[in-house]
Amino acid sequence: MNILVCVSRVPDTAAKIKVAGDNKSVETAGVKFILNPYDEYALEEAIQLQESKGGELTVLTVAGDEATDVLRTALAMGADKAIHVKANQLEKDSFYVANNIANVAKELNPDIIFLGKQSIDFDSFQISSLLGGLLDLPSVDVVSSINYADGSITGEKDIEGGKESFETSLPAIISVQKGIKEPRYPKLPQIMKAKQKPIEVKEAIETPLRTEILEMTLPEKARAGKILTGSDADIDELVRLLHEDAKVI
Amino acid sequence: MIIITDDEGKQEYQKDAANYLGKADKVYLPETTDEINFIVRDLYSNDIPFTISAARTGLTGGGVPHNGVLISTERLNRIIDIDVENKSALLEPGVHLQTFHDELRQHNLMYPSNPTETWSTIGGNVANNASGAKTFKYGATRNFVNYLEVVLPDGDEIRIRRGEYFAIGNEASLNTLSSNTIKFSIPNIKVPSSTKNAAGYYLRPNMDLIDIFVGSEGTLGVIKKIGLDLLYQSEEVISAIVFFDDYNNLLNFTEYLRNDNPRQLKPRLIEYFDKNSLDLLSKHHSDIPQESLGAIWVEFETNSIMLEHDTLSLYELTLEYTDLVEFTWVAMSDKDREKITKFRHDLPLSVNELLTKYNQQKIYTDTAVPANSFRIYYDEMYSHLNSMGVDYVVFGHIGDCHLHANLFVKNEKDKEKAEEFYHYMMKLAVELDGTISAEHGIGKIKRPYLKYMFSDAEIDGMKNVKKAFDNKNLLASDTLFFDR
Ligand SMILES: Cc1cc2nc3c(=O)[nH]c(=O)nc-3n(C[C@H](O)[C@H](O)[C@H](O)COP(=O)(O)OP(=O)(O)OC[C@H]3O[C@@H](n4cnc5c(N)ncnc54)[C@H](O)[C@@H]3O)c2cc1C
Ligand SMILES: Cc1cc2nc3c(=O)[nH]c(=O)nc-3n(C[C@H](O)[C@H](O)[C@H](O)COP(=O)(O)OP(=O)(O)OC[C@H]3O[C@@H](n4cnc5c(N)ncnc54)[C@H](O)[C@@H]3O)c2cc1C
Repeated sequence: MNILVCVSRVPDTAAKIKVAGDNKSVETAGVKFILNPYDEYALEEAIQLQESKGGELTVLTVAGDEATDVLRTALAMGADKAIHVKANQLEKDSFYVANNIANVAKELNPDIIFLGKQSIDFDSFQISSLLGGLLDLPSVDVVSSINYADGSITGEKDIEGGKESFETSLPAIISVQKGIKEPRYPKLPQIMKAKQKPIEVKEAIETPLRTEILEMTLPEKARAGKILTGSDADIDELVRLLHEDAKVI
Repeated sequence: MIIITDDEGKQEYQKDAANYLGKADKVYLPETTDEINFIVRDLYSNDIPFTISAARTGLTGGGVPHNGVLISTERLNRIIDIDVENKSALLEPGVHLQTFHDELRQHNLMYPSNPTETWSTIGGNVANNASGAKTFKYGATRNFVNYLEVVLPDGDEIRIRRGEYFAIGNEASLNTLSSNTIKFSIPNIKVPSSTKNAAGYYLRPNMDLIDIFVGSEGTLGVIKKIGLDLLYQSEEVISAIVFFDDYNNLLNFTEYLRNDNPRQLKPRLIEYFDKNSLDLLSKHHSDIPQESLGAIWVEFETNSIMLEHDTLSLYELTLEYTDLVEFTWVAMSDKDREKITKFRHDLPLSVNELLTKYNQQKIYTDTAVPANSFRIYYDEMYSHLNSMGVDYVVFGHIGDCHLHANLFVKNEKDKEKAEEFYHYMMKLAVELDGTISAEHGIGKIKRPYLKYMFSDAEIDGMKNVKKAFDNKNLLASDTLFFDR
């Protein structure tokens, strides 16, 4: 089975995000980047599939020069080879990325394309569905378990308040939910081997952006709830909070 | 200030993480640091004994009162200042370690004192001279304390900066805010050769007098404000869990890294997991090879230029020492590193969980020895553990030759054997020029064993220091010493 896993490079979950001076992008100075956590789950699912069925596992990213690190991480986890579609333009929208992924996929003809459910940077909820359209393939999102058969798969996907069973023919596009398989730590020998594994660089197809970011602002701080128990101290605290914080008494 | 007097409200303040139980008449929660002086002055003039507590993650009963008033620092939890340029911080004592770590990360700074229990407070850490995995490279909390404000048992105060006041030979004197002078003699005591020690006061001729407060377990005064030195975060860190199928190889690997070595690998931490620890952890972590008899967690600080070179050195080294190289976990991101840190943190928690589940008492060692006698200590420990027939788990700070052997006592017979082992290990550690307590302190629980390490004259010398600060003997009764 030939497997393609699409990965993206996102700011570390612990990073303090600031809006850059142009009010349209994220300030990247001083921010650490990581492999999108959902893509780690996608990779683990793909690696275990390859371990049981064989075939070749390729990882792909559409990004600037900086993204080599996440490809190396993916290779260290167990991918056989990586494709780096080099984006020249700084701004990429979902269509730009999906179009470039589709372009590579047409060449590779994978039996299955894995993605994360979402990338934790922009949360635009687009890529897998766009890919489905561009490649004319079935696309199933938020998948939490998969059973593999010859030429088809069955499985479950999360929906609000429950699960939905699905069946689809292959090739197909699958975006995975957190926890589908627990991602492994890269192993030391794999990290050493990863340095020898090929990263193929391809030039991106440049298309005009279909969306434009007008402005970016930080979300308003959610007010943290406080849980007080029934002790005298907490009653004093409650009175103080109602008086000083909420200003209702 | 908040005062708790009802039994239900007081309950949680009357026990610590070791389930050591005590009793307080009242619990005071000051809300500003200056309230401490006010409270303490009042207690002093009324001859009321008092004890200080913080997060009560302590494991020796130091934060649990036997009588009188308990002063909890939990509301004094402001980070007053982080000075990025001078790499230092000023804090109130009740700041939780995790809060401080998280805040520093935003400034690319690091405070290397990292006890496993990050709910503990900076005040508690200073009072216990707490240490953690990174102590292997950076030393314990003491090394980072540059300023203290301490409220004395009569409500007076000492403000002391590192490098300001030293003992002259064995004579020490400190001026208080209200221009009193506290004078005491520094007894000559035998200092163990282990790299860590938390038993008794820190006492050396010509010492910097700020050090008398660090590790004094809340017996000399209430620490009111703390100044800490900080470091920049390392640009890159290699964090790995190496599995071994042979104990001897595991120990040789550890020794190689503990010493200067031809590969120039200088870890910042070396932590140990034995087979039983791995079995316990494998319930929640699938990635542990079954053949493994033990594991070492090791971390190296490096930079983007040296990263590849150092990873290769580690790889070559593991190839030499274990057949299980293919299972070696490596964290390639901060997130993965946190997962490994959590893996280590899960261990004492799982032990405590098991104990609670079966309602068993925890008997564990906190002993450490100098590196040149570690093998004897290690072999003796296991030969006793394996002949006893009591379930156990061993893990800990092997870089500093400091292991926690935890025993699961199911009945009276087990208890007898476990206690015998516990005493044997303390005596052995002292015989090998080590310590009965490397990090958790003496508190109340380990008072009987101070005499394993120190002569009566040495202990009397320490008591005299205490008397110089606390002439009415009101503070922290029954911590560190008997019969005062
Ligand atoms: C809150 C929420 C609500 C949703 N509601 C629905 C719903 O009602 N119905 C439904 O069917 N689905 C739903 N979904 C699923 C969602 O539509 C798909 O998961 C979506 O296609 C993900 O796209 P995205 O733009 O968020 O993430 P993307 O940014 O598109 O990232 C998704 C994945 O694409 C890949 N990728 C992203 N950027 C790159 C790159 N530069 N190079 C290579 N690969 C890349 C990665 O694998 C990444 O994990 C929902 C998802 C979320 C999170
Ligand atoms: C799961 C677990 C793991 C642990 N791992 C480690 C470890 O790796 N390394 C380590 O060193 N310890 C460890 N400990 C022990 C404990 O966390 C430390 O001793 C810690 O320093 C206690 O801090 P605390 O804030 O909980 O203090 P408490 O337990 O409340 O008090 C401890 C002592 O400090 C005194 N004290 C507290 N605040 C002040 C103050 N402001 N002024 C004067 N005296 C004060 C108290 O009187 C008491 O004697 C661990 C504990 C647990 C439960």
